[in-house]
Amino acid sequence: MTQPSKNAPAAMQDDTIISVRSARKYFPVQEGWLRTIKGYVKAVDDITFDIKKGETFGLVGESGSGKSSIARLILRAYDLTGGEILFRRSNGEVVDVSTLSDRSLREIRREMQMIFQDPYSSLNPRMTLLELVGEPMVIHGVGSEGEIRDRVADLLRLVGLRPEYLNRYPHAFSGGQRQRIGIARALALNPSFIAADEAVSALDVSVAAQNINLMQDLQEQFGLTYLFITHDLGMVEHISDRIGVMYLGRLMEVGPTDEMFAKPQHPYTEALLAAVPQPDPRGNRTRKRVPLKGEIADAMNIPTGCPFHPRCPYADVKCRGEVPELRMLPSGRQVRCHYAETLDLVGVAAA
Amino acid sequence: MTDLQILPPQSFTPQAPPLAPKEQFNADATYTAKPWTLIWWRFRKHKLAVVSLAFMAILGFLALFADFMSPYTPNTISRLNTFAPPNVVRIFHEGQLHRPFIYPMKRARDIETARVIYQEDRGKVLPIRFFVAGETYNLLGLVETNIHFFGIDDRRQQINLLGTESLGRDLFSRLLYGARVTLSAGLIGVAFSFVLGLALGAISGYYGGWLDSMIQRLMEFIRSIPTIPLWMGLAAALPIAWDPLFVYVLITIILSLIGWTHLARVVRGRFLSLKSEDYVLAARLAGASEYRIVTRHMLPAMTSYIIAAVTLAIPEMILGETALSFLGLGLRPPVVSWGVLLQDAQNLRTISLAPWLLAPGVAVILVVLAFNFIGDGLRDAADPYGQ
Repeated sequence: MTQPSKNAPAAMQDDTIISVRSARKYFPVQEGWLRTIKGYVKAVDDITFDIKKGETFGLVGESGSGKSSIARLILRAYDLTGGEILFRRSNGEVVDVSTLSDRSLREIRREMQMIFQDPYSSLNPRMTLLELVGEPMVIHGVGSEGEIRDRVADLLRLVGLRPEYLNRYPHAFSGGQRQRIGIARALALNPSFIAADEAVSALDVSVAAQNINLMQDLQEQFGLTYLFITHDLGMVEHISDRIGVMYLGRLMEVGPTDEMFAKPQHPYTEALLAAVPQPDPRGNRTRKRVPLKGEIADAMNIPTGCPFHPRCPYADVKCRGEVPELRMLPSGRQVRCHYAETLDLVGVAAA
Repeated sequence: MTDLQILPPQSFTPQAPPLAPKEQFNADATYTAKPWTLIWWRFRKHKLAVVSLAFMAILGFLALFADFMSPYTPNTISRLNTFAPPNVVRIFHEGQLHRPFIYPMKRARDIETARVIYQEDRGKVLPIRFFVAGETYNLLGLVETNIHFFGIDDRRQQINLLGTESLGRDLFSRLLYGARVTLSAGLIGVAFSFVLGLALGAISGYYGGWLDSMIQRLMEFIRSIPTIPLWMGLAAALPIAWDPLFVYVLITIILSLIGWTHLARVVRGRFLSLKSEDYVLAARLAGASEYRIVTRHMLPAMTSYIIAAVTLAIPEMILGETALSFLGLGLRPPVVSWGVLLQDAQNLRTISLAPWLLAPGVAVILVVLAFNFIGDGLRDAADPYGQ
């Protein structure tokens, strides 16, 4: 099936839908009257990972680690500074999203969609649900007015909203309901891939849980692939098949969710897991806590060597001087740490 | 860790919340109300703005139909009626209720100073009549008629609700005709600066970069020029022999050359904030064209702001016109504008003898205040979705 087209030189495994390869995004920092560039913020630096068809890939990390930038790069809201992002279309054709022309990009946009973090600012307050959810169909010229109306009503029903709400404006709905409107809109053109950027972070816990479950049901029903971006490790454990941990625009560790939670192989992953609140007080007492020192570094001024070394309890001279590569361990996990094999890190008890 | 587990996936099937009984009545109206309806509902709460809007609507009507609403033409000279004080409209004659009427003015001379003085002649009643025949005019330039809304049926006497000036012309009539010129100068000036401000503000906000910097610096430069000397310079460049109407258009352009910067700021600010709005990105990711994004998502979100800014810019224009004409740099007689009328009130002697000549000044104050109140109300109502 794989037909490497002109702009997709490298082959992609058959079960992969998205392949991010050495992706880089540097934002220039301009200063003064003449807008001279005084440096770059390396929001995404040399990121490589694959997302398999039908899975949920979780991307976690602190604020400012570049998680959202990745989603925006995949959807080409930003242009890449370097690297490539391959996408397998539903007809099997593999394209490099980062070099597509505007015209072909429009086609691709039917197949990849995004769910936004803020349910308030991501819906145009001046459009009714019919206009909002139907907009992708109008833009792509799919269906007549009546057909769009029917389809929007179906989509609303699918996400648990009454089809009678068609003529209402977003201000009539709560945050959770608005998020579901966003989901309905994302589904309008039957995409195969959806990037959910902190899709439930703005909602309170019970509503977030409802929406997560809705997203899982929809995934099952339509065979969707999710890129799920969050800083909530509890959420990511619940929904993701595999996880990537990001720090300062770099991937620190990639692997299956359960393995990573049971036995992290990067000190940063360990620190993140240690920060997850534990509902069991006894477990809390016996657990070794590795509090994370300091704050995430300035993305314009990344530390030499391993970017994590100033905060790492295990760092030594080598970490300060030498940048570790993201390497494949024999177990199949990928880690960016010099001492991945020798460190004995603590995870959290398996489910 | 896993106790944090949320509900198991199967247990949740999204269910539409049942409609609350209350929702079926008033809430549904709010939920399906168009953006402009919401803006109007919010504007309505601003009582002062609503009153001002009504006031401006009436004044606009008076100005538009000035020739019908005023008893005389602005240039009807009455030699024996100079500096006549305002007539008082009365309804009691010799203790009896009477239909609205005025007493005629008797002209006399002060024996010591030889100054002309006017006294009401209480013996004669001049009832105010509606739809009376007077001087002929072209209503809206279409219908030739001589019917005026009100007046008195007397060839020798005049009704001067606001008195007369040095040539005996009726100030009330002149005020209405002047409203036409002054208000339209404000509107036309704002229209010019709207075009300039929208274009430059949109370029500045939408494209950003060095173009933005250039436009911003230009605006700062323009705003830093002292206005009166600039007006004087520009007005001095207008040849004195030109048609007054042409001068009028040029004056409004001069005013708008300075006035556009404020509007450009508003437009630029809205573009900047809308550009980073998630729903604009969402539209882009849905594949929307630039044209669709600007027309469907960005412009609707700023029209109400622009209208508010325009409303607040009109009084600046009106004040500018008034100031220029008052100084003799703007419109000149025979064109009648409020600034031109105020020229008559320039020296102390006239003011002490005929204080009613300050009426156009009061009119300017009222109109400027009204526009400011309307603008305030609009600005508060402009974003019905904010907190």
